[in-house]
Amino acid sequence: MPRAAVGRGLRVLRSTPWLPVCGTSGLATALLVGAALAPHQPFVPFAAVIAVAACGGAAAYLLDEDTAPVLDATPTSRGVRTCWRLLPLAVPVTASLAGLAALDRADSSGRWLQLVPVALGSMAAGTGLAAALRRSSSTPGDLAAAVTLVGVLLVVAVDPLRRWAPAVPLGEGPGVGRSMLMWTAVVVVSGCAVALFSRDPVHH
Amino acid sequence: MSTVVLEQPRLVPSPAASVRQLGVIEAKRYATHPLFVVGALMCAGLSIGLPGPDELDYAVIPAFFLGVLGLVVSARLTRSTDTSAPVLDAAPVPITRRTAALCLACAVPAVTALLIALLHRATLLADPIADFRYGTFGGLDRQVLTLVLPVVYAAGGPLLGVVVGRWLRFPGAPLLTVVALLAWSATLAYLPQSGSSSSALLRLLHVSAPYTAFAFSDGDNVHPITVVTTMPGAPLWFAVWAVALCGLAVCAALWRGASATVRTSVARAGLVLVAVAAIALALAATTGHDVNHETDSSGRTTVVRGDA
Amino acid sequence: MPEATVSLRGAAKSYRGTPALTGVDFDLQVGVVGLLGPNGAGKSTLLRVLATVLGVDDGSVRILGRDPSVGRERTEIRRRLGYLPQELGYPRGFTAYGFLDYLAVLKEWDDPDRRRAEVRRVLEQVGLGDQSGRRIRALSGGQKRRVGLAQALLGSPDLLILDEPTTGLDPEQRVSLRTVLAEVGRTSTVLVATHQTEDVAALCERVVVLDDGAVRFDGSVRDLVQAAAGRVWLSDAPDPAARTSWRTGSGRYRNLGSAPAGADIAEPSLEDAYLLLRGASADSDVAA
Repeated sequence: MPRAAVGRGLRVLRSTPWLPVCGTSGLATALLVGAALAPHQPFVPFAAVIAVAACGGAAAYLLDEDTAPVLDATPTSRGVRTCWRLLPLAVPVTASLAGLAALDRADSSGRWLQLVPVALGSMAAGTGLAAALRRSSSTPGDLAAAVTLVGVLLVVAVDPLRRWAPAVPLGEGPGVGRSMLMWTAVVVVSGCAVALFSRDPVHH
Repeated sequence: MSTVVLEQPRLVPSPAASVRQLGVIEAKRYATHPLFVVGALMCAGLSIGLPGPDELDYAVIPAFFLGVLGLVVSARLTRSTDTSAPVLDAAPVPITRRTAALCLACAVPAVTALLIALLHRATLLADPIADFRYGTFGGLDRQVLTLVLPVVYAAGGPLLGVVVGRWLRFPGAPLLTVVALLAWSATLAYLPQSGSSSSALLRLLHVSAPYTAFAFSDGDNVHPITVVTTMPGAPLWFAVWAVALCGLAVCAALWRGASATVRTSVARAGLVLVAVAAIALALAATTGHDVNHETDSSGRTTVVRGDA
Repeated sequence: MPEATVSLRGAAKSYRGTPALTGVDFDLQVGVVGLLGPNGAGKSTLLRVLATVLGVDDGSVRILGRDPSVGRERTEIRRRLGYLPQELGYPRGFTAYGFLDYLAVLKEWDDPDRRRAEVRRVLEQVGLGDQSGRRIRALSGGQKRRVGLAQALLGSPDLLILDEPTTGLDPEQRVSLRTVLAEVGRTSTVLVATHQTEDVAALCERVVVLDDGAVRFDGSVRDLVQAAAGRVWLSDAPDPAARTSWRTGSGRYRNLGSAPAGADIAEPSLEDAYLLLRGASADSDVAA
């Protein structure tokens, strides 16, 4: 990749709203680590789900760009900027994976790593929603994060497809595989949404 | 040319009048915010007999859809006027009255929660649940748990949102606050579920969360409830503690940009509320049951031994 | 002699050691006064001081006979003040009417009927009577600016402070605004900060030029323009003797400075006079 392009990309990365991304991811990790320290306490399932949903909320901030109307008129297209802006997804991804790994190590019977698809799904959903909301706002993070957090918690609490695929793929049984498939589908659909809504605005 | 600058006689309206007028405007903005509308619809939908949590946990529905979402709504409404700050700051009505109006607007989710709780009560009248589902709680405690606490939670979240909007000006503040609030509540709400529920420290921690649970059951979405376990704590004093927290949130919000006179009044009110909160918290932890009690479907209640 | 609407004596303000206002002295009476100056001259700082949203570090300020550093008096000033800042954002979700209604409440218009009538009056005054129900974010830039102007006109303030009020307005709207301000200036004090010298020339009898936080000129527009008489000339090519020159639409060059003998002298405009004043200021700064 040409150096100039990398330089532009790094500039794009610098304007990432690091505070909400790292802050929320850090809070999620702290929650999971706290759960790992007391793995058999009743709050642990709640903490795990809240942490995973919080990572989804953190991801929703990645596409915030205060000066998007001006940036969209530059040669660095929205699609290119979006690609660079998705790189910091590594922060909430790492936070959730590390936290779930710590929890799983403390309580392997809980199979907590089976929550990884839920974590990835919620982060994808947050990003996809933010991409869609970018059409009407340069900084959709606040709204997208709130909707993602509440949406994931709601899906887990209500579990609308529990007969076919439980919202939380913990334990064993055929439903676990279907649940992981469901969350993988969420990742794919959200990825398509990001791609669709990151096209040049002239197409909208 | 001679000019004369005339003093225009003016009737200066009372502060209460402008707060009232602004409160109406902010209440309308709150009521029409999409997040509130969606939250209210979901709260209502889940309150009319659809599968949900234990009856004694009913308050979690308004707490989540009106309280948690309301925190985000309030924070966004509070910060939305920042873009007009140069002009608003030059108006005679000071920021404290605008903040008071935002706090008044939190009556919208509170009233909504009350109406939905009454709607829920109406569905129970039509399709009553067994009495044992209320565990050892009767009379006033039941009303507190099913009518009062939903309203308090629905007001408390938005009031905290006003505080966040006034004091935490960085991106992501509402989300961080929501996550912290959920984590705090989730960690402590079911603390007595295992371990020694008779420990004073544990009981105190249990009721110190902004949201806490007072019972849990052995049922879920698939299996029916056969045993309801009532956890320690006094719901009535917990409600007083929660209301005091709401009052302290109002004080914190009003503090921002307030004049010295207003701050003196706010500080006095805050001290009184801190005292009330401390007393209520202590009473919530020390009155009521001090250990878990199980009530089965026949109505028999037993103390959960081994917790002592 | 009646007390001035605004009176500044030695007003000074600094931001982290950088002076924004340095010993500003002037008075404002009823009428329309233009405030000119380059970017960074301190115009917006001065306007914010007069709008009572910024205090001075030194000197005295009296507005409408009151001291804005005293809380109660500051509130009283704000009851009779209208302010339009250079950049004004609007909260999401408000219509033009809704935002003005909100501001009117903040300006203590508590009677709903009177408030409604006043909001409609100012909307008509700025030509937005038929747009009152539209969301502000759906309005054009010029319309948004007029909403900002309308809120400043609420309550017919005794002191109207406008920072770049004509930004985004088309020529017809600018003429319309001049009509409004001229009318307001008959009974109120209007201070207009702008880069548009033609607006000042058309509207103001008096102009204050601010540069580097200090007043460089305070007098009638006619006197400022008169000071440039004989110092503006036209030529077919840029004159090296000119302080500054530029090509005009007619193809000839307009030159400012010390006109050589036999030069084709032109009638100076306020813009010419302002540029010459700025050039003289720069020279005196260099000499110092």
